[in-house]
Amino acid sequence: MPNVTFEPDDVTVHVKDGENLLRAAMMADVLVTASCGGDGTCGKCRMIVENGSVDTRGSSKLSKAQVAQGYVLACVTRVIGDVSVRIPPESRPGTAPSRARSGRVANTVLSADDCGARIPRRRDSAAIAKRVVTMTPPDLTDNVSDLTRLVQALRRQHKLTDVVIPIEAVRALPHIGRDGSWSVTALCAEPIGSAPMVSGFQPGDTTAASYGLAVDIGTTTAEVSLVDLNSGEVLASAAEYNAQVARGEDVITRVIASAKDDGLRDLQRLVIETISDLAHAVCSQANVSTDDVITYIAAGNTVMTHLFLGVSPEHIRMSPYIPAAARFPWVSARELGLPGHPGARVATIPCPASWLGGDIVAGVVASGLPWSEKLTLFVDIGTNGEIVLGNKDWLVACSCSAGPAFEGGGILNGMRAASGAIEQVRIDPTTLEPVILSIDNAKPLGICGSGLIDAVSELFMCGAIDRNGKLDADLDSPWIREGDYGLEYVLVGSEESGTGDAIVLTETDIENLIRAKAAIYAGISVLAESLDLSLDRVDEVIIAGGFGHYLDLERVMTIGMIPELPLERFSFIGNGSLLGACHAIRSREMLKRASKVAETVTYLELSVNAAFMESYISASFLPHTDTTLFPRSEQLLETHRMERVGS
Amino acid sequence: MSFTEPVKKTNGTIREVTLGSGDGAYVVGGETALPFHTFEGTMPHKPAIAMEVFDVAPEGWPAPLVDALGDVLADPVAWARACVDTYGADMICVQLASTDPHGNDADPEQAAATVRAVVDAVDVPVVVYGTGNAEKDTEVLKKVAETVTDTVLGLGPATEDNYKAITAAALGYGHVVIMESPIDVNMAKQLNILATQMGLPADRILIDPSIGAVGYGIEYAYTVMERLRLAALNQNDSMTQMPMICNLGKEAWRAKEARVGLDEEPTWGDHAKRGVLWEATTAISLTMSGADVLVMRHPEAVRLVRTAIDELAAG
Repeated sequence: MPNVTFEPDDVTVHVKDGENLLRAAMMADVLVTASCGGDGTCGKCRMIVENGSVDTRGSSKLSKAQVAQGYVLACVTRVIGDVSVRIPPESRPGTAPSRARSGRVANTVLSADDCGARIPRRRDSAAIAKRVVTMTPPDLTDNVSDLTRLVQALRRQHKLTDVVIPIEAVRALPHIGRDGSWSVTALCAEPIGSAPMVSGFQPGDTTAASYGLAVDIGTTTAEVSLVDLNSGEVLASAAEYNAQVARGEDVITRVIASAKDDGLRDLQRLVIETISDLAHAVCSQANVSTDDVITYIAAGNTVMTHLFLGVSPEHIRMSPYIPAAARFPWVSARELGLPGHPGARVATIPCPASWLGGDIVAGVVASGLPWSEKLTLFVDIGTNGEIVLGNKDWLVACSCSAGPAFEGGGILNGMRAASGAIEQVRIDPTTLEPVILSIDNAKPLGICGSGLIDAVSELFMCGAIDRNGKLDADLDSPWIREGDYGLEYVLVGSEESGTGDAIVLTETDIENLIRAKAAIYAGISVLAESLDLSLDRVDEVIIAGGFGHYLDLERVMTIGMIPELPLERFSFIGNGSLLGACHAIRSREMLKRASKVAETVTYLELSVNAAFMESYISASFLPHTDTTLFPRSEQLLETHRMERVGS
Repeated sequence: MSFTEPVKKTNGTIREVTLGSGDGAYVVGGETALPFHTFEGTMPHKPAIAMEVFDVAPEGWPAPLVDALGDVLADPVAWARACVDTYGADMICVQLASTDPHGNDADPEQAAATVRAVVDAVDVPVVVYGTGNAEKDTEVLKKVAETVTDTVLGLGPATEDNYKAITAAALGYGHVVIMESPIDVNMAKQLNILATQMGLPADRILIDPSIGAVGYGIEYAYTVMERLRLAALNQNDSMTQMPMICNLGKEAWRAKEARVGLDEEPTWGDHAKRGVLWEATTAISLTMSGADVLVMRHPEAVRLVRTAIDELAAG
């Protein structure tokens, strides 16, 4: 990983190859003015490359003389190998002493390979696989039926007994058997806990073309990976909004919609259409015929899983919150309306509880938790925060409603983590001038979850908001003003915003974020308390969900969202649900493990837990009402306060 | 072998808060044990009774109150004197009801003048309550704080919405702030953290935990107060170690049981006794859960509560 050194701060950070120079500066906490989100138009983030090489884009904001001196705009510059840059004084937003620190590295987001390494190597076959069955041709002395011939061969060659063979498959057998000279490829499905099944045949040996689709059915986004079942390789992936979004953004609205006339069928159709489109997209991307897709494994939260299979989720919404099923039978892809071989089967990852779904089970499996000796905390941050604590011997989980703030919902200028969303924010403590970076370095359109966490943490550290998240009206700063909804902090002025309107953070937005983070922290602490376990004993924290590289852990701790633990104990898994579905599609053992996780996890229902509300209120404060829980945050706050007083 | 009573040792001490000045200064708090657990620790100051005086003649009060207080109701100064001279009040609590923006909406200057007059008329400390309208209270209490600077007043209620301005005013003029939170341990604590971080010394804060009268949620208040006290004493939680003030007169006399006469409820028994007992029972229950200052209304209820406190304190 290249090293980037910033002068005159004299700090070095390690970044991934090709990293944006402005992001590297943010990671180092080197403050550089930047107000356009990183699309090169404000021309403020000037740096002078002194050593090493970078890949940069020319800019009309820089004179020829400056270019000759090595000036670049950091936001349009990528790091190639070790590089040393100097920050000219005019690029500094204020006069605050540098808070920059050396040695910081980007968050470790576990790749599929990293995850693979955490999971014991398996050589077993997929739960749904093509098996070549070679039968002795019939003659007058060996005159048993085609079906008996097949069943005998399956038992002898593949140790499959008591196989269920539906009538559709039997109908195809006489022709296919003879067309393939008594060598056929059977689509064998071996569900967990029920009898194996042969759902179709192809003449000859077609095992070379065996593909499966791993599906993550998110409430907002669906994502699909095409897996080659022979090599285990992911050939293509694609994501798209879940078309159900048109019927309501959150799970509860969908449940309500499903209870209306024809609502269930409508919602099922929408999600099936989304997944079908994605299936066609990844297949054409990888040049694979959809006929060679023989399996789907889908992981989704409990409501999504119900809707996907056309099962009513309406009783999940009301006490005592009972789902129709935790483990669903496998179904035919054709029956659901999904593309694939006529015999293709669809399995879903079991959902242990109404508010603990297959997505979490899949994520837990993908993270290697069920094999780990280490006490691990698995946190999936989203509208629903799901928290799992345990190791290879036991698992305890809970789910807490954080509200949509992390996905930009309920935030005046909030948006999903899509192009143009402000995802990183730094604030100069003397002037309160914001420094922002948006996803894809596009003109800023709004703010997403990680940007929101950054912004609130920075405002708090700068003393611009109090522990209740209220802006200080007495601060004389052009960035704090009275808006339509009371006091607001201006992140981006109207002239630099992609929407034409200023992007602001209101006190209500801050309050919503504090509520969301309080729910997550309360969930974590109640789970630990229920086991009489001190949180500092947690050996590893795995964070799943859309947050990745740029979620700044120290800032997440500063606002009191997750317990203060050494940074090296954290890792990020990204879309754990999809990763887990990929594992489950490759190996029946993995699928079995997922079922076991779903069966063994102890679910703690927080809606009836008196301690939760108590924890929630005490966490609805920055960083927490019990300040002794966040000594580092308190110390930082003290240092910053001294700086301000001194400045 | 003789029996030794088990004694629970505590780690924390409730802060002593001084109200008033000179000879009239009065200290509350200072406990090192649960209320009246003098076998486990000390209770250097018995719970104080702050008798209420309204800055405008109250309307629609039930007969027992009007009968007991009679003609002083229209004159805050005379009322305050009667409370101190006749009924032996430890403190006076001026309720600035006239400033209610939905009522008389009196201006801050007028309210401050009344407080000034009451302070001059009595030699006991004075605590001042606004009407609970965050915006108006801010203006009024600021004015009161800057008008009366020769003694330490208790100013409240300061809530999440207006604690900043009230704390700033109290800081400048040396007053004590009454921090009111909605029956919640954590929220009470949060407000104390916020105020102390503005530089207000922790011994210039009283906690008003918000209470309900007997029959109207007193059990919630009782539990929250008890938990605040346990956190303060057992966990030595600094931000819960402030004395507590209970604004209970208005709650007790709001209860239907204290308000209605025999004409309406002929089977409920003597109205005068019933009202007094409603207030007294509420007050005594709250002293049991840690109240350090009781804001009370009826002279007879005050007498009963004082007797109870004295007897309990005597062991």
